[in-house]
Amino acid sequence: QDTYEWRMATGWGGGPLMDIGAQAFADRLELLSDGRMKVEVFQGGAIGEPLKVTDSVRRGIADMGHTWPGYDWGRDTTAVAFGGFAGTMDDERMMHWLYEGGGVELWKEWRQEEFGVVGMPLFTRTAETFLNSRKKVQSLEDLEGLKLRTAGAWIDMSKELGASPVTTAGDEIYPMLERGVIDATEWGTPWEDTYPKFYEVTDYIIVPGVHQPVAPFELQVNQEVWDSLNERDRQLIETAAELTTLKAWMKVGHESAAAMKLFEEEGLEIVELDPEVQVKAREIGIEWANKQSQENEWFDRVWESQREFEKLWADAESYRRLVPETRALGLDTE
Amino acid sequence: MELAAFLMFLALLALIFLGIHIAFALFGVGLVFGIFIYGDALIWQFVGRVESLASNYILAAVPLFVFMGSLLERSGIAERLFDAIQIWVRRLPGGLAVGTIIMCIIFAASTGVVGATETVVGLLAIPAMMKYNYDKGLIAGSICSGGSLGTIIPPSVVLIVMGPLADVSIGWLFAGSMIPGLIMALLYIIYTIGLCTLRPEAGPRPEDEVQMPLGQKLVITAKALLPPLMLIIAVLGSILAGVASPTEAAAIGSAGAVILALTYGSLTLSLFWEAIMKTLRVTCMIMLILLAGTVFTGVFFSMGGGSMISDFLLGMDLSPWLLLLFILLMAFVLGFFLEWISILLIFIPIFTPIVTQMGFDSVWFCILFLIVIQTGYLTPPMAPAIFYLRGIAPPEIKLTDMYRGVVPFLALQAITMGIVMAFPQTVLWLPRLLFN
Amino acid sequence: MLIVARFLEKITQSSGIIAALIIIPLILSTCYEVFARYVFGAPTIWAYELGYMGMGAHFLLGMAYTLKEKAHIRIDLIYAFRGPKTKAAIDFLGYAVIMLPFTIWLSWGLFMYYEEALMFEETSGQSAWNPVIWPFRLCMMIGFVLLAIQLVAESLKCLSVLVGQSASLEEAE
Ligand code: NA
Ligand code: NA
Repeated sequence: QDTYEWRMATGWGGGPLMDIGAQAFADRLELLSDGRMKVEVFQGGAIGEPLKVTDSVRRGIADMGHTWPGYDWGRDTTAVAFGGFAGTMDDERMMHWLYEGGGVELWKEWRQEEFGVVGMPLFTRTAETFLNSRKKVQSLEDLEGLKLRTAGAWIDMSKELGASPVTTAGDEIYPMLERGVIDATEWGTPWEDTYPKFYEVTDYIIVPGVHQPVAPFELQVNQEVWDSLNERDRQLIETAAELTTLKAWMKVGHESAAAMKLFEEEGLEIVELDPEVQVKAREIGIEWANKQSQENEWFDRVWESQREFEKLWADAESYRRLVPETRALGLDTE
Repeated sequence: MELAAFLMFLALLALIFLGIHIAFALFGVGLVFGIFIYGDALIWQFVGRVESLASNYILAAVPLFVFMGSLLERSGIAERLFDAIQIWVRRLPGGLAVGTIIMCIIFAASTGVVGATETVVGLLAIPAMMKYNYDKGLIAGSICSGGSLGTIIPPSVVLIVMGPLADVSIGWLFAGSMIPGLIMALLYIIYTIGLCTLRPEAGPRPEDEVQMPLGQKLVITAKALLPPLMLIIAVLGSILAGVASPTEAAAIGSAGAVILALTYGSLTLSLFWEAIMKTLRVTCMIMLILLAGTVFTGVFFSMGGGSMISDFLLGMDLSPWLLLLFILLMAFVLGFFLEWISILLIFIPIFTPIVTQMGFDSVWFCILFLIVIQTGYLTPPMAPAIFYLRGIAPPEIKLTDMYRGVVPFLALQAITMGIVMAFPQTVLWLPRLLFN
Repeated sequence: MLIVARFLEKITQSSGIIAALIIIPLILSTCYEVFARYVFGAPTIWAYELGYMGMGAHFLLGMAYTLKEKAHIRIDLIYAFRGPKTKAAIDFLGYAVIMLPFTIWLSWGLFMYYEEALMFEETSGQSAWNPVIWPFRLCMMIGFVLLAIQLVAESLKCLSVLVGQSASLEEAE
């Protein structure tokens, strides 16, 4: 039986992405393979550059990588269709599309064809926090001129909502929020936002994350490494990745519920965006996606597949969910 | 593998001692050892390092602060300031040396690098002190150590590089270094006055008595002091108030320096030209070592060098305070041989997490580390402050005078370190006041 | 030998001037950003990326000039007390044996990286401006090609001392 030791590049300094993403996958793979497959996980920047993990894996300076596909949007906007954006479906649908609706197969084919690496989902976020904010933001008027820090494709789309997006280095976000140079920032899910402690310097948590209703992350394997494996070992890797993704999905969801409680205890006000804003944001996202579809063949294929899936699931709420009024029943302790 | 990391370090020191440029030695060793790990693919590791260093917005503050300093040192502000300060301190024991240190404080607060402060002050102060027969050790010591205040009194290029490595905001570091920097400068002044009181021949009092009415003194001082003071307040103020990032504040400071030089009537094309060419040389020197350092440490860390060092330290099972002292001592010893960038790149990423895990504050640790870095400017053979002095000092001041002269000031830096360790509030009070 | 070196240094000299001038737009664009933020209440979309690109270009295009001006630092504890030939030999080791192959290899790597950016029409993905990235990548490559050129010039000067054509490195300058 062959044994392997691989080096994994990541973009993370620590936190949930590292602990229950990259490292959890490494541990699980070692367990499932009876210790035959060992993965050493490196912090962002130790191998290659944190935002260029795909390059590091393609060129073989890392055997594996853990990244967010959206970082590659400068090269191919299809990356955003897999990584999630304002036009994407919710996390539950995304999980079903990926594992049952043909998403993973498309993902693998796209990565191989366009980037020459093997890619598959590893870790996912539920809906992010829309904003950690010093100002109350609820309506479209509130968004007008709001100095918000963001990155990636959302920069352009948030401008259509009326905001003034700002780009800054990551380390400077906290002090800039603190001194009011920026009004608000988006970051990750409520749970992940507790790590940089934005709640210490903001007064409002604005939900839900219309800019990022879900964010699947990605495991990458160098093509030569992949080709050298037998079918069974490949399946082991795929199984470990799928299991880690599903576990992460639940962990992120549950811990985020706890984080929302923490924000309340810290005295922050939790604000739900007006439906008007939520609808507008998704419209902007879909409009952007339709434009990409016309210019980019791969984007079109992925987007088309997601549209088909969503049509199939259009009425899911009616048979999978009771009406919202039922949720609070029986929870009043008084 | 860990043996390889150790060998890597030895090879680096060997090349550096041979006299190969430090950046080239770092590149060369990183290259040879890197090929063992990555093979051909190593080049992509290096390409990535070039791109990420060249795309670092925070580092844009480096050329801007250097430019601001280079322009100020040539703008005629220094001469006026030197004369104005002399009016007040010439009657003190060792007055010229005290004036030199005060000049250094003001220049340190307007520039981010040591070289600029030291050259401009040294060129004015050395002839004056030589004329009055000051002790050569005191001349060398006050100028070298005064110049090195450029790193601890904000703005500081060292802190701009350290912040992202330690994951600490640069604004916090600037605010945190302010009081320790002033304590250190104050110690320098007290020491100088004390020395010259006990041994008047070290800093003889000038005999030529000039009487000047107080009003006139104040006018001269205000004219000389106000413009640079306003610039300092604008630059540091906007960083500390958080209204501008360090890069933006540096750009505002550069524009301010141009305006100041214009109003003084000293801004000629050739002066401007000299300033931008000097900015280029200093920036490229810093950035190339920074690039070479990230190439070296990238390979060093992926050979397990980082975990080797931290395992070794944790394996000694020291108490948190002893461990902290040991880390600082190691950095101090390395400071004799390496320049600050390599030390930062090796130490800060490894030790900041360890030290904070033990319950120490990361800002406080960074400032302690900054003081160690500052000693490195004075400890030979790799002693940039002494290099700069050699460039401007007359032959009568011998290298031995310089080595002898910096020793008492090193002791004062050690005392400052002790004060900062005993009273963490010296670091933490100001940033907490400003940012909380 | 020295004639070639002089010619090569002309190239680095002019690149140094271009690099140094970049500081001016860097100051202006960054000041404008602060101005736009507080006076117009609207930050620009380009200042952030122009800021790092300005710094990057300044440094990349200035490396070679800085070498020519002997501004890169070294420890001269042993070096300073050696004879002219030993000095030239140590420098030759640093320039021609260690740095030159590395620089050429890196230039080649950066060229391929530039080509990729051109081929994919890759954009920076860093801000709303999101410019194409190939010009900046090209600039990275040019910086290292210039460094290689200056390294050749320095190596030639060392060689001229080693073969006895010049008495010392200072004379070869
Ligand atoms: Na300073
Ligand atoms: Na030293």
